[in-house]
Amino acid sequence: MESDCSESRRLINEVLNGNSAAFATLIERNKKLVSHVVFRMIANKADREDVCQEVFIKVYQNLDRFNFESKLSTWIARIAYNACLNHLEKKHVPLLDDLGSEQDILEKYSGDGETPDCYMERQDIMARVRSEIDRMPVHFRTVVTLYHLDEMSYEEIAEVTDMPLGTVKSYLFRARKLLKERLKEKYQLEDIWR
Amino acid sequence: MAVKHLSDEQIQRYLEGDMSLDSEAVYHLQECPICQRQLQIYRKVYQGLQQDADFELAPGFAETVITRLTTVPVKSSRGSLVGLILICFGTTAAACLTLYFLEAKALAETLASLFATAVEFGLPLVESFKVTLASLGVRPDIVLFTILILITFGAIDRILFRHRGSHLYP
Repeated sequence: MESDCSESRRLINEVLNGNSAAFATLIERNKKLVSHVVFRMIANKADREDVCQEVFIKVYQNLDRFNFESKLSTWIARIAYNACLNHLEKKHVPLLDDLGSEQDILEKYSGDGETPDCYMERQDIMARVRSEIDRMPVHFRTVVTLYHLDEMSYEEIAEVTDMPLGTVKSYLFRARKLLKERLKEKYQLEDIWR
Repeated sequence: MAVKHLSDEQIQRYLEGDMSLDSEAVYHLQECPICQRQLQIYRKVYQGLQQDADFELAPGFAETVITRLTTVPVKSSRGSLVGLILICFGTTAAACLTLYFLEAKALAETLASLFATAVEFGLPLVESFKVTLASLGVRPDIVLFTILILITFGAIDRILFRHRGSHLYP
């Protein structure tokens, strides 16, 4: 953690001194996190890349204000989260519906020890879960993404979203329960009981 | 006696590796087919949540951002002298106004006369401005009061904005 912090300090100082290669490194290290937040919150594919770029431009413009009270990644995630909220507020963006086609899923089949049938079935269940995630309220989606995909702690999520800790825990619990109920309702139990 | 199945919260805690779940509940979970089904569905949910949903940015994303940055002005380094001056001036003005309204007239008059002297000798432009205002039938002290209030609010806003920017969303 301490070495992470000193590494972040070094990187930030280099960026503030005008080293664009250092900023490229900062982007590379955090683009996955930003894309998780932005892609999960914003439905319009055409807007996602722009919002991600805006996030990093804001990061650059405000990097001198980062005071190391939190992890750099948490601070960046917060900027991404707020940028998405602003975007949603401005554009009244509908809920996500970005499932790939069956052909897309097949193309990603790597065949490592799994039969194509099993692979397809597993992908289908995952796609169903993702579909249900995309139908959830935006705050639920964000909280589960930060927790499960970015492995953030409750405290870090609370800091990113400015929600009380109890609300984060409650959203996580309710989101998972909602997903479970929807899957249970929608499909035959045998389909997912494997 | 009715069988007590595990709650959603307990199953989630089990999947999270919460060791505080009592052994009786864990035993029930392992033996009860109904709870096992719930557990299996939750497992699928967890797997789905942990799967990266191919949120890929375009190749050369970092380069695109850096190219865009060449058109964005770089912000100055930590702290701003202008901001500091504004804050000091606003705070002084607010203190003076408070004293004025507390009827500390002598002090206010001294400050006013000092200010008037400064205006008279140092800033002929202000004097001409006062004359213009007078010819328009506007009281200069009211104008001054308004300006001071605006500066004070501006300074307060700046303090709050900077605080928010340092920790929250820029």
